[in-house]
Amino acid sequence: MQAEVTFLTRRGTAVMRRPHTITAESVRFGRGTDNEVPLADIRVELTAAALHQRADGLFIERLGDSLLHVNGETTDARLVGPGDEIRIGPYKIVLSEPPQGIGAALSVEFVQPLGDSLQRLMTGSRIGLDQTGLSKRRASWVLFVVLTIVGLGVPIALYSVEGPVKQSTSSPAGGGSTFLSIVWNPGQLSNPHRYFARHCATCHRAAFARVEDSACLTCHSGIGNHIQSATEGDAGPVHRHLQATRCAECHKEHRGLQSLVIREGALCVGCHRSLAETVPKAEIREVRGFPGGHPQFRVTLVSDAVKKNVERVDLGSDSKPADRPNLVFSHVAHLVPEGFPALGYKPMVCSDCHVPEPSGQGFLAITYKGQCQRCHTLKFDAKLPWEEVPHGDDARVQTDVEGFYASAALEHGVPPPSSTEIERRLPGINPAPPSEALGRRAWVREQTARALGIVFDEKRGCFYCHIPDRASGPFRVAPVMMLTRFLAPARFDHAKHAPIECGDCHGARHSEASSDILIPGIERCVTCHGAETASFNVQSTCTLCHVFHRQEFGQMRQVMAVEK
Amino acid sequence: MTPTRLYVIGALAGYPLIKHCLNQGYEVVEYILGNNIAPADEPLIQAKLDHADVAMTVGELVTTVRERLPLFATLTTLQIREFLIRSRLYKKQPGDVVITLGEYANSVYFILDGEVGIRTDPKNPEELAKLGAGKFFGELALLSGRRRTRTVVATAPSLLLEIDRNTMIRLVRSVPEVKQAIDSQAVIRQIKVGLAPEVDDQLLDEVVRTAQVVEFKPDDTLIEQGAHDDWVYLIRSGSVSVSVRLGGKDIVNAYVPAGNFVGEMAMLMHAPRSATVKAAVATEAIRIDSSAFRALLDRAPRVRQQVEKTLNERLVEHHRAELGIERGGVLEFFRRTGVVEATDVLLIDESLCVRCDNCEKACAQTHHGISRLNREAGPTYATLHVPTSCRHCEDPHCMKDCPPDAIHRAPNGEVFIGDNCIGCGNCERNCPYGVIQMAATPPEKPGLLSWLLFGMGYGPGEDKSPEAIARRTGSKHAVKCDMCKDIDGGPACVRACPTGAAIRVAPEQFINVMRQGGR
Amino acid sequence: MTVTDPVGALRGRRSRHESFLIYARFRYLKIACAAAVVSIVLYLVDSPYPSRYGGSWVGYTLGSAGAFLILWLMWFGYRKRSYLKNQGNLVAWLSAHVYLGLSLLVIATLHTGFHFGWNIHTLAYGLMCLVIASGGFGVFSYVRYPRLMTGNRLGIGMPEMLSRIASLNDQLRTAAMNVDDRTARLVERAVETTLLGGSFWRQLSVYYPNCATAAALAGISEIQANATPELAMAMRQVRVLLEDQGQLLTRARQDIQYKAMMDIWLYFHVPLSFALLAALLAHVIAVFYLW
Repeated sequence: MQAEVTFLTRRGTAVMRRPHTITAESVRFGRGTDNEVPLADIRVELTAAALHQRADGLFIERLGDSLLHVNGETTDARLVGPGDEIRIGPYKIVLSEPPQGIGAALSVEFVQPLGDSLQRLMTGSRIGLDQTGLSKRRASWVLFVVLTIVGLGVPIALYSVEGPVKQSTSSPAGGGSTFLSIVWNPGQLSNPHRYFARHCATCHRAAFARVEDSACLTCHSGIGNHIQSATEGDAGPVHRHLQATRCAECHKEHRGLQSLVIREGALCVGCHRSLAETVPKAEIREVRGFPGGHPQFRVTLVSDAVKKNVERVDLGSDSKPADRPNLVFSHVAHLVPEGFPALGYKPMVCSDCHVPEPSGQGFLAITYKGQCQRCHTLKFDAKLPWEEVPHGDDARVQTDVEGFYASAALEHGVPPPSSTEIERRLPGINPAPPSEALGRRAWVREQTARALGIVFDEKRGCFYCHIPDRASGPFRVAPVMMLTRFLAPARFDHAKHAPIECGDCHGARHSEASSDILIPGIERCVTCHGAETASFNVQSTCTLCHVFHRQEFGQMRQVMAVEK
Repeated sequence: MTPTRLYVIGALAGYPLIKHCLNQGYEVVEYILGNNIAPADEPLIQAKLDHADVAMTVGELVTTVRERLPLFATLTTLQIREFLIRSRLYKKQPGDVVITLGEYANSVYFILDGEVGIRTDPKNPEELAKLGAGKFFGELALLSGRRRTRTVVATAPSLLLEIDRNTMIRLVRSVPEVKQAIDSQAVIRQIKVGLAPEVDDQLLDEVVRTAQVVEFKPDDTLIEQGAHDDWVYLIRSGSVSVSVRLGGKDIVNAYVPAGNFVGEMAMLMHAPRSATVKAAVATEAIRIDSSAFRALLDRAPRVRQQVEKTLNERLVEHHRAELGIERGGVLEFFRRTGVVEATDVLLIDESLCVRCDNCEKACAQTHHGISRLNREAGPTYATLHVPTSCRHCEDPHCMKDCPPDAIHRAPNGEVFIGDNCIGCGNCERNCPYGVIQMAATPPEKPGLLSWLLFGMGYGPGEDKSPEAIARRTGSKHAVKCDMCKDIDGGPACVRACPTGAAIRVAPEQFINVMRQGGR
Repeated sequence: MTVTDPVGALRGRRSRHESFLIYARFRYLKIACAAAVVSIVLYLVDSPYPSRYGGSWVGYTLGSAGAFLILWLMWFGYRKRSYLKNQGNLVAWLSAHVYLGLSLLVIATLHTGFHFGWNIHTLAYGLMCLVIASGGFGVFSYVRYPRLMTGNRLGIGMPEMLSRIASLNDQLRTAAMNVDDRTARLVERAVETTLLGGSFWRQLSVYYPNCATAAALAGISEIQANATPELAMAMRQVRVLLEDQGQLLTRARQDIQYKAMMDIWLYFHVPLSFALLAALLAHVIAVFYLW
């Protein structure tokens, strides 16, 4: 067949044509140079298609692997005629009406130039991180805004909504803000306060304001003072200092579960190392630390049981301190190994008399009824061993005994003079009946005197233990004053020391007089207790034994009127 | 009756001489009329005398010049007056500084009266080489195209004549004897200043007599390793490289600029040449006879001391070369890329450069948005990179053919293009290193903060996208690096480099760079 | 050699390349160490009740110093781009930035008193540590990669590499005219889809699994095995070009990776420092809001 092939080149609006005629069996299109219509582009197969002249017209079929595009449709092979457009790779082949004698006329145009390689390479490549769409600016803004909102905006809003708490939070209302309390929390809240942890405004009453005492006093209104309110005027600078110090300056919250209660001695020693100069009237000795720097203990002793005076005496002072309870008592006598009949002849032990308080800290007061009566009875009549005089009111004893015999005389009559004696009589002679009324009174008086003599006997009666008050009368007992606490400013907890033998600290086994001080001095304590950071001793801080807020001293702060 | 005379006055004419003719004609007429006429340039020169507060007439000045300055001895009065018009007069008191070390040189000074001292050692200002009336100074920097190498102060009340470079060049060209005179004078002085400041001129006489000024083209050999000659060379202008042949390779181990001497080792040690010395650029050297030099050394022990000190240092360098420490590669690289003709070149150490382009951005930001620096382009040797940026050549190629004469050298040495650039593009074509570009002005862009915070605008640096280039307004004119001469702090590229990779060096500092071996 | 260098000291310019780490003989390292030592001493000397924490006087001092340092360190981003004012060399600023930034780690850690928790305060501290860590990586990359980059380039810059690749593409297109269809398709794909760079991950990892050039090379070896002699010659040509192309691409991609390594850390350092700024603001305000 013969075909007229025109290669078209467009330049702007101008079109260049290069026609030439070929004669061949069929017109083959392809990259290879042996094709009738060589299409020199790598995107074309070596032999892509062939155009045949058939009886029924022009027929195009594909020879390569890719399908042909004819008029926009893909096909393997089909009839084509003038006006049809065939796409092979980047080439467009348009069939036109062939001139006379020619089988086919077609134009070939290269319509998909690749363009400049370098250009395409540059546009296709993204070189450099700034070409990737990642933006430092965007990321920075996003993070900045988000964190400002989350870290600053939302918490402030939540706090403003919360409002200050007006009443005691013994039962906090619902609400509060978990978010705020987590995000802005600088440290763990102490255990006792955790139940209102969500309500920051409980303590933080206003923005940019420190926690004021009014916040603490809402619940802790009755907290005790550190110095006796009465002596405050004398205490001068100390008093002013204490008043000026906010609760929160010592009690730091947000420092962990155990944070609120202060344990470090440094806080105390800061003032107490110089109190002797600052407030000499308080007679508080210098304390610089423990154990080094802590003075010897001062025991509270009875100086005058009658006037009920006590004094505090340094255990280490040269003048030997002595207690004056007005009671005669010897521990040694009671701790004899053979024991006593009333207790089954077993040797006595400390706990027989010294009964611990329910808390175990100290001991119940020694009472006659509780401790002494078991052995030391107050019998007054050998014939009536079950009868005893009441203990405690020496004035009443006399009248009670007299009354006892009087009532006995009234009720049962006066027993015959020597009822227990066997009297020999002549037969036939009857004894004379006594004159009853006169005899009764005399008998009562006689019995009373005898009884009182027994009761107040020195060897076996009241004066065995008590001191007679001869100035007031023959049967008067000097008042007794016995202390239960000897180390006033400290709290010694016996329960905590239960495993230790009483005798290890208290020298009762050697004490024969009640004036003996059986309270050990500091030297005994330091055998086990050491400094705050001791490695081989019990770590001891001031608050282990001493208390700052003393209820007995009155209120530390006056409670403000409740805000509306 | 007085006879009437007709005078025909004629003069050589021609367009460039019209003014001359008018002046001469006027003078002739006045002379005929019997009026005392002074030449047209009289008031001009008188003004100079008045300005310098010198009580002399112009005639006296001319006589002084001719009598005192041997260089001008052969010149006619007219020639002297012509030179005087273009010169300046100074009256200096003792202690006044005449020229300062490091200044860019443009003139030569002649001592009409009085005395000056050249400070030979910057650390020792009292050590002076004295020059008396009739001598000149300052020609070294002039001829070698570098900055002043010494400070000169007046040591007695002096009258100095300063002639600028172009005029001097014209003088040298028009009167050949002048060149010789300058050379011989300069030789004496260079030897004196460079070697033996306090040595009497007479002692140097022998050395000077046998001295010869020799010219070398780039790559010419001054000294060949292994040869048995023993001249000493004092480099007047240009620079040389010293290399040692080791294992078949020439290893360059030193770069010696003008003002220094080479070749003294062989002379002192009576041994064959230990190294090869080649000219790096067009060089002028004074060849000194060794026997005369040796005689000088015998007579002047201090000179000998100094020379031996130098000798020792050079032996150390020589030994280093034998160890193969690679320095020559850098110099060879500098020569190949034309860095040797620079007076100030930007060098980037690629082992420090993090390719952040802050130098380019700085250049653009300080120069109306067009960067005069292309960091990435330019040759590299090992890790030493020379970006495409003006080198402020000693003999600027761009200056050669600028029609409006817009390209000048500033006092501190920066070559810059002035405002009167007409955009012809000659400089761009003449520059062998491609550092000049023709560019129009880009439009104003949003400030730094708006870009930093909101991304408005292109940000610091030159926007080279086709759209941005299309938005540039006005006609194109030539732009190139001006070493930030108008900016406080100096070159912005160096100041803006965060890692210390970019530094600007002058040839005197090449040795430091070479010592780092282009690591 | 005592080269007369009368103008050597002119303008006080340095004539040696001095890295920002060594600058001025480690001046800023010394200052930073001094600051750290002072902080440690202050921290140890003061023993407030109940424990050392950010609100004691030492805590406030360290905190203020730290906050000021953070602001000054962030100012570097602006200073770096302020070219007109003469504020000294940027090297000095970077040297100070790096070393004082490291000392900030000590100062801020001491300021916390080692109290950490799930709150904005520890978040600020954590962000600061991340910023410093990313900066540390930055220093590392600045020390390591420039030399590697130069070594990889062998004197050819990226623009030239690109034009070489483009020209090789053109050459390949011509050379592939005479090969069989399969090879032609492989070559066409290689030429059309030359991939350089791309997403930040690809730039960083040099992982180009779909590199058409590599695929083409692999495919060609197979075809070459069964090729006719004429075809084989044409294919050899194509192969040589493809290998050249492959090497160039590898070099270019490696270059891209090195550059990306020197840039990527900033994409963490800068946004995190703004996050830090916000957290710092919140921390300071929170501390005094609920004082």
